[in-house]
Amino acid sequence: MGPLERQVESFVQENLPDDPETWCAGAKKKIIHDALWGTFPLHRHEVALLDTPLLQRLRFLHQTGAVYLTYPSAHHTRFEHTLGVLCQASRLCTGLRRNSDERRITDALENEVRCAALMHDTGHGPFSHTSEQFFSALPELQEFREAHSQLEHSGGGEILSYLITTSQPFREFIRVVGEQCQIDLSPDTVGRLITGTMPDDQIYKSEIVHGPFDADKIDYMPRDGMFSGLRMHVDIDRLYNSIHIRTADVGGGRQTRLAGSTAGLSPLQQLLFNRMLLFTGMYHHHKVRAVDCMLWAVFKLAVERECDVGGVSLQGPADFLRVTDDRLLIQELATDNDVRGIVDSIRRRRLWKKALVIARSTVPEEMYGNVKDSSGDLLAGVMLLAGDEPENLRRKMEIALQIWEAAGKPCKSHEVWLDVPRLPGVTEAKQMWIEPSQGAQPQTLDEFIPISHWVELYGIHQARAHVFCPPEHCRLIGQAAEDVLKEMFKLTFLDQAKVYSRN
Amino acid sequence: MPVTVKQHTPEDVLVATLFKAGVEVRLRDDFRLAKIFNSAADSYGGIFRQFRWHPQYRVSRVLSETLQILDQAGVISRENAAQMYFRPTQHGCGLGERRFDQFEAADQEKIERVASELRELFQDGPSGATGRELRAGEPT
Repeated sequence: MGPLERQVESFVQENLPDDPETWCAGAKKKIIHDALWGTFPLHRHEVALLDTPLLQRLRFLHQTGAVYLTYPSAHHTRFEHTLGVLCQASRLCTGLRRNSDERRITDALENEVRCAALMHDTGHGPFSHTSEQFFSALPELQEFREAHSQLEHSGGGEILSYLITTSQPFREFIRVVGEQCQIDLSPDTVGRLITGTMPDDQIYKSEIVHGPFDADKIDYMPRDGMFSGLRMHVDIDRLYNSIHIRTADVGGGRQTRLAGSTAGLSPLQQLLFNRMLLFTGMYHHHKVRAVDCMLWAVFKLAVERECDVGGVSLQGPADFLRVTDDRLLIQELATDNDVRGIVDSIRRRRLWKKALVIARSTVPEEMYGNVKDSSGDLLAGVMLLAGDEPENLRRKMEIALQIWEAAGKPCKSHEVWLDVPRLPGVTEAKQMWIEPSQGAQPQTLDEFIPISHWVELYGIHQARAHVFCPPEHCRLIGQAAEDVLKEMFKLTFLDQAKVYSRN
Repeated sequence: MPVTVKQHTPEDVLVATLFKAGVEVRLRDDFRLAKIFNSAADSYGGIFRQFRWHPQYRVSRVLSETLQILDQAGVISRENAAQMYFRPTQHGCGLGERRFDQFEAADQEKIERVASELRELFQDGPSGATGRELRAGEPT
């Protein structure tokens, strides 16, 4: 067992009951009332699992990180989302059974899929994807991924969820719960459902909770939209009526996956389009990005200075499991003055502001268009830093440091950030099978919906990089950022680059 | 002062490879492109390792998303909305040449080999491949 597995095991041990038998004896089946999906039941063994501290901590992780500082009602948490995924996973199972008299969707499989839904987000840290992006770059997770090739395509949070689910204390807990409730659950299968690593003839099973269009996406898109106020519509019933299980040959191998039909393209299109809207209105909103940078500054300082945040020393990925959003924002639980300062600013919503906006709309056309002199990197110099690999994060921090120095060090160095967000992903559409007509060879969704072009247009018209800093230093930092980027990439700006920054 | 390079990112690798492939070749973000990069990941590892595709879906998230970033940055230009062909821009080649020069000789050799495969596969452009070939490896 490696160091990461040991750390996760210790965390799981602390967050499961000492006496599972007594714990389980007190559990009774429940009816859940959800604002988004209405009413649905939980089985007794699910209640026993849901009531553990391991799952209850999800109540203190906001589903959309610090988006609530921009959209005040976006306070929904990973806990509600987890229940929503369980509900939709079950409804997808029902739809599959109905559509093709499907006998492969057994009650036992549905139970495992529901358990995977409950466990799939247990690996999230404070402010969800904000901390995930940070701890995914830590050496322990990089090394783990390199040593476990089957998980090389999994995100950091997903890997932690997998390790939690397959840890020895969890196995023991599930064994006792299974005996008490007369149900057979395999932690190994649940782990493979979470990470999408089922064998080729059973891919459809993991696609219910981990696939191109799974219960996770079907829940988070409408939920994020509903609780942020950016309401969006998806014909879920129509989608469930059009999905079935299909076996086909793929390059010499045979796979069994979920497949949609052309009759069900409309809800898939709605999901993809809604996701673009969520990026425009929420995930890439400049205020949301500014708070993300403030939180990254907290994590960076905590790791570099080996100080406590939320009462925990964040030295490895598993330490992030011990901090929740509420604890991270308690100043008294931080042992470093600079960290306390940022936490205080977030609590009072004294957010960093745009010192410079870097986008196609804020630079002359010759910075990205038909360029005659290609001796400088121009706009590409900044935009190519959008990836979230550790090296890209390091380069962005190095440029921010140069900007801070060029400005005459008017604030603390960790208060200047260069933020270049990733574009929305397109791979789901390349993965999802669509059967053009009954019995015909499946094609992929990107042959029916031009998602790549949507993202291309998004990149041209909507995507923006920013230099953020405390509001009182925006003018100095903005000018210094212009100077540094001009020297570094020969990148020049229009007046809008700083005019926008004053809004 | 230029930004220092401690490791090479997928953006660096792709820009350098496209520079070596040249502006004459019309490429397509399809199964064939992903296959070349997946083979490079298997054969060479190292700088190409991150381009390995998902073994079941045979889609490289890193390749597709890096191409989107290059597109946004003006390093490649897409030329036909219905067909997804693209090629590096003049500016992209200049940038690619500078990035290429930053690689060690052994990595430069690997990049040149992959670029050569790209040229060979895509040199005939759209007429060089039928719709069936473009989807080769997808369900048949």
